[in-house]
Amino acid sequence: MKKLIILSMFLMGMFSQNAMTQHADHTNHQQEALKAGGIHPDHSLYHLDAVFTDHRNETFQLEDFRDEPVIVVMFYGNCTEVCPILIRDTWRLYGALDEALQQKTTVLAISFDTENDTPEVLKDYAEYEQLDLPKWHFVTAQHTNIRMLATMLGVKYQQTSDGHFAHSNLITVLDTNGNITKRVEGLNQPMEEAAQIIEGMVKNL
Amino acid sequence: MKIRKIILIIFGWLISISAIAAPPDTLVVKVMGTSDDARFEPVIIQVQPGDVIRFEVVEGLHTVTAYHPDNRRPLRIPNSASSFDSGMLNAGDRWSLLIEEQGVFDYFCLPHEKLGHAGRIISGTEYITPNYEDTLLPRAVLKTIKKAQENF
Repeated sequence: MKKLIILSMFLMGMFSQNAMTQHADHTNHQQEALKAGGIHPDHSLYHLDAVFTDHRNETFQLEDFRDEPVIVVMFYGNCTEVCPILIRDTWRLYGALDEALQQKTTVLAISFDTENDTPEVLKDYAEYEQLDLPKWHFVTAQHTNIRMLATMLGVKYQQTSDGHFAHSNLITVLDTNGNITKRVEGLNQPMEEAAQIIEGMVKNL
Repeated sequence: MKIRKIILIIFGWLISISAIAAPPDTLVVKVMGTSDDARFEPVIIQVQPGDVIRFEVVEGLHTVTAYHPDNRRPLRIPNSASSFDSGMLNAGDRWSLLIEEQGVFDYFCLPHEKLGHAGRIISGTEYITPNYEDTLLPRAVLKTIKKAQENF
């Protein structure tokens, strides 16, 4: 009798395992990437005296964004590996801000593929990604200026023989003076802390 | 004799319970390739509402992402269905998706979308063929879905 009860409980346990929903079973590993380099947190990026062009063909200098938080990400449009995820992560950070904060926060998505990512190409990219938003700028510049900016951000990148790029996966938040205040390295990272930093910055304006 | 009777009653009861609480079918879609060869196998899968699809990543870095405004893409799943996005998946990862509604669900892989890495779920038999706007998708995606639909 005892055996029967045990058998019944065992079978009931098996039959009750039917509650399935969207469920991930994966380890938390990352695509191989160039590790981000060191930075000088007290060195404002606004010292960089370079001209950039966005996907609306408007030119600007980084200092034009003084007095507002800026999110910076470096990517390239032809990437078929991690850049789409990196851009989505940037959008996740921006989306974590409420509407009022979004209106005060600039996003610079800067391409290191200066050969292919012209303003026209970047415009198509922004439109397809539904990120042709007023505060979003998909950016190109002369290669030397892109390299200098990458160095200041600690973003490493290197063109490979097939025309693609190995690069760091890094999202950076600049404070209102252009200093690096938060770096989020890797893909699919939590964005709450970076969003709180931006919120705190805007409150203190 | 009495014990046999009890055994029969318990088994009868278990069988009736299992009929009510039977788990849904679980179907598998393999996620293959690393670049130009990135693909879902099969590209089109037919399920019944309540079924679960388990995506198993064999190689590469991929996502399973619904064509839905929440993912900054045009709507290509039933209006009543919720958007879905697996997040980044690597080789060896598995991700399960419960399909509850009837209809046609189009989805893509975020890194390889431009290379045509997309798939379609057809849920149920009573669904209405959707009138999705094709011009909003990359040509490679349309090619993948059209070719698979022809061979389906």
